[in-house]
Amino acid sequence: MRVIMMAVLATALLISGCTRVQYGDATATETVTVDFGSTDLQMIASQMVDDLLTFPPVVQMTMQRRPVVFVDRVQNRTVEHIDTESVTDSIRTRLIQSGKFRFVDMTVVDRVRQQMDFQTQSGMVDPATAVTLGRQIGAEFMLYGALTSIVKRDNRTKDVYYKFTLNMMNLETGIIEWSSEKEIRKTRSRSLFGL
Amino acid sequence: MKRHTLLWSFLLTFMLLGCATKPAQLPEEDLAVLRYDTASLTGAFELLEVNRASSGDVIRTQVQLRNKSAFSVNYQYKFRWYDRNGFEIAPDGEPWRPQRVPGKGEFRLQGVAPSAAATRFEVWLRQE
Repeated sequence: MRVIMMAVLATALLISGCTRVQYGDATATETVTVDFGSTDLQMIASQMVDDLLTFPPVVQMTMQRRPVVFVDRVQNRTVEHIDTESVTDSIRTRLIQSGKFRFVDMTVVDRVRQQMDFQTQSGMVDPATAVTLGRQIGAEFMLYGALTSIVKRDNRTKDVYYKFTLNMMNLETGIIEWSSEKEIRKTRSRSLFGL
Repeated sequence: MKRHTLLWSFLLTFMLLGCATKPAQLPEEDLAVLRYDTASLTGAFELLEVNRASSGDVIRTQVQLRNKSAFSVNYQYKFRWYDRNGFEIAPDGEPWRPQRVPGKGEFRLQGVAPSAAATRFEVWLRQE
């Protein structure tokens, strides 16, 4: 019995000894697979924001005021399941932190309306502090885009090409005021002996 | 006469060699821009030029470097931006970008400040 317990204890120690959890650098280059990863997301967001902030007509416009923008969506036209909203979230965050743009969020409209109804109709909120209806600011521009990919492979190599396109449209005129693309190529090669 | 000619030849050779190997003199401010995150990469690149421009109130920069080695190098880079008080702006905002440079190759890295608060930058390099 004692021997069995010792063996169980030794096994448990061995197994737990193999497990290790550690924190890493969230901005480090991630090359686990050729699939869309955190580095791709960060590079796309960074490139788009850099392009937008240095585009001369946008520079001119944002010198005087902070335009209001809403993010539509980025179509995922790849074969992978990619959370494109995460890319647009990063772009929106960076643009807000740049101090050049303001955003309205269409994804929370229902919850905002619910809160406004509560403030104005429940009778529980002091009318002096309740928000006034019909005072929200309409967006002037819309950001939308697409993520596409081309995948090629043979026995040893897999090549993935991603293209992210983002456009900013003036909602009143329908003119695309700005557009940018970011291309990423990733290749995975297997060595001769599959090691 | 022969002795003088020989002396002049030596002097001229030394002068020319001196001109060829002397690195471009960059201002202290520019030299402080290049930083290494990996000890093994320290000194692997020669800083050739640093350009600064502004888009409105946002700083843009371009750093030109040369790989000193005859072999290609896989490296990563990122720009770090600082405000006038020396605080880093959005420390987690910029990803490490992977690149490959051929032996003796020259390349340019471009960066844009995340906001108008940025007054100074550094470009960090590390081994992939």
